[in-house]
Amino acid sequence: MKADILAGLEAVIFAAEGPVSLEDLSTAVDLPVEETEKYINNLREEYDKERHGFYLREYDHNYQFLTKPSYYQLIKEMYGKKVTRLSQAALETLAIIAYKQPITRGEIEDIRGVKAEKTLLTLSKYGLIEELGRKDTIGNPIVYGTTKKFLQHFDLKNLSCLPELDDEE
Amino acid sequence: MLYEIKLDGFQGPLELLYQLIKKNKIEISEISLSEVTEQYLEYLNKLQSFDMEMASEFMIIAAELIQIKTRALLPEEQNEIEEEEESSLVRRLKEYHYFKKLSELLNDLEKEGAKMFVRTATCREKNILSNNFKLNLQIELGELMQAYKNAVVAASLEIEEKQPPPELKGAEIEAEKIKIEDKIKYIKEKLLAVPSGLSFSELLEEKNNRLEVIVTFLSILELAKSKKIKLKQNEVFESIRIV
Repeated sequence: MKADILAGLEAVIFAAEGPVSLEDLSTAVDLPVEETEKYINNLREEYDKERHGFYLREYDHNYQFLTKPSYYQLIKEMYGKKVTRLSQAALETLAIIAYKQPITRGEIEDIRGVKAEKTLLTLSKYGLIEELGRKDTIGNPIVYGTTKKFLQHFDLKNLSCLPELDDEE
Repeated sequence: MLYEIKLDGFQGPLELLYQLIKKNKIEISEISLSEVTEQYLEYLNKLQSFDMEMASEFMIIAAELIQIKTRALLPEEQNEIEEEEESSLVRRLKEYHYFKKLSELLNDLEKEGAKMFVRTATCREKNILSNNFKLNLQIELGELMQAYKNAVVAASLEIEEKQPPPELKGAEIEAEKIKIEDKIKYIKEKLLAVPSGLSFSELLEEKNNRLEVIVTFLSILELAKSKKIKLKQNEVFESIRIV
């Protein structure tokens, strides 16, 4: 494990505006993807240590530094950062999409018992869902799925990390 | 007993049923549904105005509830036959409940996720062309020069064609040079002089004045609307006669 490569990866991730993909990182340090991943894991372990205020998060093989939740209060008091949270309706619709994707608007409305058009627009506006394509049935309805930003918003490494209910009803 | 549901959080018939069951602290089953049927219908009666689409959704569920209720009232033996297949409403409510629970889990995640901040970066986008980017052009230097010159000439011509940008004049508003009222009068006079009718271009005084073209066009539309003139076209793409 070379120190300059480790530091280089750290610098690139730090300087980026958003999450950096594993491919981009491996190109940056000119190493194969698997090698790069090892370095990143090393970096992650380092930042997970208690003495650091931020850590390295992964969202579907994209990496980003984020401040640790335990220092939320401190940052909020210092900079007065505001966070946008989703409404109940948006959250419920998003849950259906997340767990049942790819899913059509009709299928969502069947479960929710109400029209979903506006909520879908809001969710797309926030970049949390996207159109995945069209279903091969009558009318070729659009199917929706969640985005990388969705993973970031809920701090999920990937979709298989979505929480499960203990007793499925 | 009427369940007052907050209008701002209003989520449709399934939400109402769900809230009723939750409020009565009962399990989702056919029996519990028949118990809340009356409350559901009572609520529906209280609702004075809501859109048709929503109303029909509520009615469908109401009908299903009544069906469940009547089935519950039937003697046991007959009941057993249908008991095996769960009512579709019960299934839907259970699914609704399931996603409610999942959305609560997401809510917790969101709460935690919102506690993390990214650095507000100032770095610009990544370099589009990387250092080892090589372009293989099969072109002579002279040709390249010529192509460049052509592009420069084309660009300068384009600039010349464009009107100079209008000067900012503060809050001053220029008076209308050509008024629709005047134009209407003008068109009427012209048409009275030529009973056989005119074409659009014949009505224009200065052909290159864009404002005049627009105002003339608007005047014609106005006159046609108030049925003072007639617009005729004998064949497609033939010029329209104004009579």
